[in-house]
Amino acid sequence: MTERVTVTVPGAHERTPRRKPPDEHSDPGATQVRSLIRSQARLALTTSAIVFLLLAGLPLLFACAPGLSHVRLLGVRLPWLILCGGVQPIWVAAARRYVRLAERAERAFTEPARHE
Amino acid sequence: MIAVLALALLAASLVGVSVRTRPARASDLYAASREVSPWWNASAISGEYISAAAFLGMAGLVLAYGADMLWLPIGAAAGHVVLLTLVTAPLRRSGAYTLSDFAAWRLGSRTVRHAVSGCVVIIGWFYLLPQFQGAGVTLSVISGLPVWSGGVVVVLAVAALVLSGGMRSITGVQAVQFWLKLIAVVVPGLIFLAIWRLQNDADVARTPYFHRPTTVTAGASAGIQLTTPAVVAVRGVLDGRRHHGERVLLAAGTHRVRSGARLRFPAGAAVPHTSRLALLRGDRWATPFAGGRNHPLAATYSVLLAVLLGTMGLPHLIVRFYSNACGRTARRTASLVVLMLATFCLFPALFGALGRLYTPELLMTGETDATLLMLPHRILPGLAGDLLTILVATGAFAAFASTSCGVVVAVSGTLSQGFGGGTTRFRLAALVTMAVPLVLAALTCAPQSTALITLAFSVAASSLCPLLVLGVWWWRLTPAGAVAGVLAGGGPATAAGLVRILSGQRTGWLGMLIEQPALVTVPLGFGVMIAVSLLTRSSVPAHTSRAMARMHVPEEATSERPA
Repeated sequence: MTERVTVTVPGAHERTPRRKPPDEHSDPGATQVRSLIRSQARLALTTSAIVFLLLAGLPLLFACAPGLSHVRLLGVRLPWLILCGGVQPIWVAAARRYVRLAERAERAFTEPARHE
Repeated sequence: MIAVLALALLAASLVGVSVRTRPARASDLYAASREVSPWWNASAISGEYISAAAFLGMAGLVLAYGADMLWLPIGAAAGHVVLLTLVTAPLRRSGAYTLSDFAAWRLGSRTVRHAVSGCVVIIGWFYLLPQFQGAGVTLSVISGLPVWSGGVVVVLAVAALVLSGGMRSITGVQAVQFWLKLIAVVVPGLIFLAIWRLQNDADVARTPYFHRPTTVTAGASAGIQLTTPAVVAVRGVLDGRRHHGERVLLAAGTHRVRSGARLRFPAGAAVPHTSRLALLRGDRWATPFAGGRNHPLAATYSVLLAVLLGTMGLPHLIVRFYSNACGRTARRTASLVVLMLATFCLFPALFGALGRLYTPELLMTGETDATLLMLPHRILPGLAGDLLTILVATGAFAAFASTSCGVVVAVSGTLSQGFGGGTTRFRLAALVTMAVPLVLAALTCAPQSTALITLAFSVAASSLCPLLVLGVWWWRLTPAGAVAGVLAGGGPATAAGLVRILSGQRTGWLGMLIEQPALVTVPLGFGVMIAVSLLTRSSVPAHTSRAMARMHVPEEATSERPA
């Protein structure tokens, strides 16, 4: 079930959208929710940190070792090879890994809730 | 012939878009709420993201500035990884439809909504400016119209589309346009690569020179810089004197060319640079940070930060995730977007490098946005070149039409909402939305469209990104903190952008920060938002726990429980 709530009525008081089940039912335990959010936050921050570190490290590498720019591999200069072909696969892999782990964390949260 | 074809294509692509327009109901103007598969929706999001500036401009930037510009495509794909990890699923689950709605819902404050709406409008303006500029240059290059009229034609086309009833952003059309754009770079890319390798294995890193006698027409009055003297046949006004086709010895140094002058260079002559571009010769072009730019390492970090964090603040992009059924499919969609953009982003560097060999005169005219459009004819004269040009032009117009219409609709929706909504106000807002970037484009002194596109990203990264990230993950965010952070980050970023547009390049640290402010304004936005929230901790909204649970708990955990 998906519910779309659009808070677009101009001039109206800002409302918190309500779900159909009353809140005490739809909120499956504040502690569990907090721990879910914490584990998801950890995962999200780790993945972003990988991206950030790589993006911070590469410029530093080329700035500190300008000699790398003259190394050729397959007839292409190393910075061009790395920047054009080498980094993008890492993004794809990081994204896939994140999706897998985030879904696992959600399953771990949902399944016990289902058997309660 | 190419000019006629190009105009016909423009018309065709606009007709293609206008099929999906119809008389508007206010709700139609932003809604496209069909549930679609992650793969299809990811194509649509990538289609919306690949703008004319990305499609044409990145190759031009690589042609002009070389290795230092390779960071942009990398940052673009990485920005979607950050978007995926930090906001996609929670934002989808929040159920709020636009960024303004999200802010209002999360913090329960109208002031926050207004602050966010203001940011969305500014980001939209900064985003449209390079689109209009790039499309204008493109149209003028292939049709021979003057640059300003190219821009006007393009804006009129978008105005007609949006005003005729608002574009219904049908996911299918956007998705097809992505595949069109991808084919329009992959096919020529692979063909050019093969030909280049077979025919002419020249090192692209040497100083650009004319491989054969080339006539260059100056599109605008400008200075050109020669590093070596050259004998040039001139027709038109050069250095204040009118010539009628006679040969002139041009000494090394700067010369003034009046608009419309035609210069014929002999084969082997080094290509002069327009004085608007820094001279980058040979090796320095191919080596990162060697271009003699202003504080290149810090500037690179600043650009990367802006693109990484600014992606999540693009209003027309975020809305698309509502076409997914739930947070989980939204997440899968975002991960596919990373894959698709990574594929697309392999090509700008190739075209930029080939442009160095085959279309070096663009360095002289400064119209580097046209690289991709001019390459097919240079590499493959004849019918094959014509067909490839048509393919590339179609992709360029698809890129232009989809992104510009998407942004205009998103921004004018936000603007008109602020003044009470309704179709008439929406149309009025659409006119304002397009007029402002057009005026800015007329005033600007920046040469390339993509050089300006990071402005929008800087503003988004410094204002909306802190709000989204802290709103999604931090319990203690308060309305006062949100507003203060958005103003503290977005304000300076906007001011820097305006200075950049209106007053040209500067030197020193200040110049670098005006050009790429994100390095300072992003920490400022985050810092102020956190500090003010901590100072006003008594005003944490009462529904925060409920909001957090709604954003992070999977849908099935709430809906499948017996009531």
